[in-house]
Amino acid sequence: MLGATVARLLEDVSLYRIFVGSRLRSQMQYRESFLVMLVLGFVGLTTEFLAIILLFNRFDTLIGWSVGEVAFLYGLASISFGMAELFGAGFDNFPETIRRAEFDRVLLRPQSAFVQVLSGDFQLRRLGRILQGTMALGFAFAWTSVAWSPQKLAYLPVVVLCGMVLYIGFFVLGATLCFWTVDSVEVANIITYGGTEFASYPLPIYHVLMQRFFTFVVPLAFVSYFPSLYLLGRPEASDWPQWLLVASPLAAAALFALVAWLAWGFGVKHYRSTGS
Amino acid sequence: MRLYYEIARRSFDRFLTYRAATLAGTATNGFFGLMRTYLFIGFYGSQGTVSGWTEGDALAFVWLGQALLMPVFIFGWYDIALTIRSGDVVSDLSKPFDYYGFWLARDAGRALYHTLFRAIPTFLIGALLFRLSLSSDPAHWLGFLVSLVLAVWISFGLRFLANLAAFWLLDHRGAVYTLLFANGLFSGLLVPLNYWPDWAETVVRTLPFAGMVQIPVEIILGKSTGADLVVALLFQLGWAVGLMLAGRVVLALAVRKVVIQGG
Amino acid sequence: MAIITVDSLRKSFWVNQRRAGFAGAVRGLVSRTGHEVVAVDDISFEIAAGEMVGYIGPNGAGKSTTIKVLTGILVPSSGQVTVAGLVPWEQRRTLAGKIGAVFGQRTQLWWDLPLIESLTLLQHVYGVPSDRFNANLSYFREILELDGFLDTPVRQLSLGQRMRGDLVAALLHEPPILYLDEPTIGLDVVARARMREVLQEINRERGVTVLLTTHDMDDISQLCQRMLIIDHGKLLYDGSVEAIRERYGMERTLVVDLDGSEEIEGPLELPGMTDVQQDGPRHWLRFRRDQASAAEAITAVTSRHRIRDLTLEEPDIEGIVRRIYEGGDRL
Repeated sequence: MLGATVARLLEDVSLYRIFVGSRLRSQMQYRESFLVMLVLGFVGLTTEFLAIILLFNRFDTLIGWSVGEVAFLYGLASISFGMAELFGAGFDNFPETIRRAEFDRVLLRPQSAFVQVLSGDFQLRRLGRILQGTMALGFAFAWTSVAWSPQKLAYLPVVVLCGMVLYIGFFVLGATLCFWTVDSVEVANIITYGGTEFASYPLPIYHVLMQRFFTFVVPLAFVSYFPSLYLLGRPEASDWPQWLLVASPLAAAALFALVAWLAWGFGVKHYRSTGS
Repeated sequence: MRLYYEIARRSFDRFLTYRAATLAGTATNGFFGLMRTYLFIGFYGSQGTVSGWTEGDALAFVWLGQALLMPVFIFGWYDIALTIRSGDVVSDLSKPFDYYGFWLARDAGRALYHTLFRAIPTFLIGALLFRLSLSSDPAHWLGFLVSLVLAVWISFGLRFLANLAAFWLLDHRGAVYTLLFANGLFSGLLVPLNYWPDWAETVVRTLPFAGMVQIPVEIILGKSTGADLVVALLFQLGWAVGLMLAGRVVLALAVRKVVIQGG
Repeated sequence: MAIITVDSLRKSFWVNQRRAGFAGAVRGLVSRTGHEVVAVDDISFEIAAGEMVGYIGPNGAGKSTTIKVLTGILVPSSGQVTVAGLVPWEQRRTLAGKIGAVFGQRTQLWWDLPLIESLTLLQHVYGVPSDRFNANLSYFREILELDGFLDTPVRQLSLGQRMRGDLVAALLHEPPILYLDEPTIGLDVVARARMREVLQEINRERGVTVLLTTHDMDDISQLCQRMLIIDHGKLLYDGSVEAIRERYGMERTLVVDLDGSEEIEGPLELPGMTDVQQDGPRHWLRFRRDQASAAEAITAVTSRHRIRDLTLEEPDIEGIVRRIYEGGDRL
């Protein structure tokens, strides 16, 4: 039983790689256009980061957070979101799939619908956001005086992966909504794109209802804020159990992924009983 | 004139059909407005005035910025570039109207729609939820209206030029994309220009982008009064006219290129 | 041996009354107003392995709903279905390896990839071993003459080339069952004839069971011995193509516009023809294919009347279904 599950999972992974590989090859046919968009995307996103630096030019701190610490939040949020966009954009682009009635084609194939949709729209030019987030993280390392223990350094990629899972989970939920109505997707997009901006600043600046919403309903606070409390050694969390803080992004990502997965399954079931 | 009025009206009517998108868009502006509001509340903390602005000024700026975003159109706008790529531009150029005027009229119709159905609702959300400090002087409101019209005109002039670049560049998105980010940063939308380092502020304030968000907002906040207000409006007018002239020159070059090379 | 059995299949949908605008869309998520539509109403049939069956009916008759149930995309409201021994909606992924599908209006290929690349991707999707893949590919390269455009991105293919590509894509994994939805739509006469030849060959040489939906009566009469006619979700006919052709397909209609100078009231009296409809100078004259050729029919008209224009109408699916209703026929 377990063997069969693992075999299927491996099959899914190899299929994903094959799909992505073919998309890469097709994008390399237009190399100049790709490079232009990559560079422009990078430059454009840099204006976001520049905005943070400009504000800290006039304000010393943001509720006790320094420019380096906010850059760290911003970097984490950007890399996670960029990776989600890169690896899961098929779900981000799902309204188009539904509008063009292409989901039937997906169901006609002897493979998981999830993997097929996930790999459906791989665009390498989305690397721009990841590069930009990495740059911000670099500045954050330079501007803060955090003691980067090996544990913390090892924890960093885990956090990024959790953030990616959270954002992809959100894409999946938005896509699931499309099985009922394509119109509402624009509302979902608000939180998707607003979500990176949200996660770029310390959680307590927001209204308490927004804090709760983004902690318990759409747990984007675990993308950057909670892991940063641990990684940056912020005083806010000094009397919380450290293991709880460290485990929280993992738990949030696992739980949210489960919710998104179940919702997706429910949505596909709905689609297969209504065909629309 | 009648022709351009009709073109503008058509454009306005066309936008009227996108009601769902309008509501979703307003919700997006509202959400971003909320986030930026709390960002400035967080930054101000207990400080009174920073770079000449109080927290109330900053909040007013946030919501005015979210409101102006659509009428002034900070986003990517490819309408003309797409006609250049498809070749439809040739038939548009041979029609018996002024090409620049035709697109300006269309943009005016769009801007009016976005003012009524995007800007005002967005601003009302902010005004109902937070205390925004706005000028109570009717002259400032009148000045703001004039300034808003000029802001749209400047924005159009820049977008017109960026779109014409498609006559020369292979990738029609590049120029528009670049403009998009310049718009966001140098207009003051992302960070008001008064918070910038003094030397940078001085430089950026001479660029046309300042006339798109920073100047209209300063007028309605009551930050530029009397002679300053008139100078601000003249600055906008100067850029609007200058960009129009530049647009016409570039258009003439483009037309000559089309005539010589046959597109 | 039946490879497809359908027993009392029924599928109904709940159609929402769409509310206008964004607020409507949001309200539509919570409360629903609408009505039930029965797309497929108590249909039963069996298809034997190796058969080639036409499945026809007007738009919205329930054809594509049936096909979607047979492929496992849709779960039916009630009824039993087995395809290749599997219940489609319960064993979708297993079944998917045993069926191929071509939808004439929608490609299965990747738009921006060269055809060959799409085919290799599908090789992985269906898990086709390399030797089988290569053998099949060279077989289809020959009979479908793919060599000229294997390296062309799909978006640059002509419709006929794309359809051929889609057919290969549907058959590379050697499915015993093939569903074809309008496989000749939009093709020119030559491409259409070529497509039919290939389908015949695949059916004959490889024993593939084919279920074909189409609007083109010629597709059916040249490819199938048996046809199913469906309308308003009900099966109107299940039997030989020959019987339908004899009964309805024989009747062609000559539409003539009389020269204005002639004044004729009422239907024309012509031997072997019935003037079934008149509109001013235009007359619809029905005659049987087995009694007169088109040339003979035209001569019969022009020898008695001066005409300005004429067209010949072949019976189409809609016409046949309409006539079955008109005649009150239950076949």
